[in-house]
Amino acid sequence: MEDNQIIDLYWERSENAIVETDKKYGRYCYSIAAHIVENEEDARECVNDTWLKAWETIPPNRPNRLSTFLGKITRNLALDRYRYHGAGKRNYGRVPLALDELKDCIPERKSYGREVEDLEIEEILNTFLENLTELNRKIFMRRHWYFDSVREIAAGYAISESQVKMSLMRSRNQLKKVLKKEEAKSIE
Amino acid sequence: MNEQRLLKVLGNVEEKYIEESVRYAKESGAYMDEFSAYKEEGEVMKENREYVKEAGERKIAGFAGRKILVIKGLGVAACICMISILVIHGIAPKQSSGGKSEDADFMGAESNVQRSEDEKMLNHGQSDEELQAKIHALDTMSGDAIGWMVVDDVLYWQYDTNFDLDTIDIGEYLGQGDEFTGNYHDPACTAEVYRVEGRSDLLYLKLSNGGNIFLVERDWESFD
Repeated sequence: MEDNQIIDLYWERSENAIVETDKKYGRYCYSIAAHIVENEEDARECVNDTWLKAWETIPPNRPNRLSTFLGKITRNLALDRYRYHGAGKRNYGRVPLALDELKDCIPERKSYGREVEDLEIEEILNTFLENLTELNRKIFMRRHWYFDSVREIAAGYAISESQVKMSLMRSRNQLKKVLKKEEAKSIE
Repeated sequence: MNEQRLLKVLGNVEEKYIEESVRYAKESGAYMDEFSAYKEEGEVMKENREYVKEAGERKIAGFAGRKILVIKGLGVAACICMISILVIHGIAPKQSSGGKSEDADFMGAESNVQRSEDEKMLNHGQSDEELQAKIHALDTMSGDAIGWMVVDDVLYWQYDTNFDLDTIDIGEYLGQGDEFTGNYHDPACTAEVYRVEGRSDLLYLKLSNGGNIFLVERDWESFD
């Protein structure tokens, strides 16, 4: 079923909307959740919560891209669940590794007057992504948005794992430079 | 800003990038359909376990801010180490081939071919020159950029100085840091090098100043 038709079902308050959404995006959302919570039960609950959230927000929303609309909800719910259940546990899911890697992107903090706002960071990230080559951008997103492993990414793009690692390292260094520049601006 | 916040904000980037990166599956043919046949549940969990193993492959984090005892490596030591290994693995078989025979020349040629193949295997598929060039490149890297060491011809990079020691079992003692090719040659602070039980990809360095360093196995290819 086409996304528009599924969205129409939500607007009609038809329970088939959930059935069709699950059919089309169930595995997609489950994959996102499972990469974060690393527990089947929690992952399934995240997916169910996603459908509930979608039910509550469509209408009034009419998402342009249903897949990413649902994916974002799942990711946020799974990250919340991760923080609640597993933040203290070592190796709980893939998040600790992703966080560890993202540390490399954060400029060393000295004494900044005001923090860059979330929206500004979002804008910076969008510009940063825009400026990456298509392949580097996809690799970065697969790693830090979808929490895919290097092996999965390499297999997905039919490239070597070393290439993936190198691409990620370069992208993170680039992001660090961009963030450092922006933070320096915010001091001025 | 911290990494948690960055991760959260990253979740809200433009949808086109989120969607675009999903489509990689289509390009490689790894999945028949980008969404509906994304992955089986069991497969995701299996991949998760593999991903966690990747802990050892984490990018060496936060070097810039850490005061690690890192000094320039010794290129000469690298050469000596490599030559010793090649002598052991290359010349010994030749000596054991016994006295001269009618086939001596042929055997010698074959032995050389075999030795050359052995050398390549030993060097992870690289020629000796390529390996030396990479060691030299490592050696000439900025001292504060990276911590590295070569043990048994395997390259290890530093990746974590704040590892929870309670969660690992320290294994075999290998020697002092300055006995190995790499950049742990600071007379002011010596390092004992250990293996980590159950993690052949890790090395643990116990510093005389009380610090702890972990090194993780890296592909030589990383320097291509």
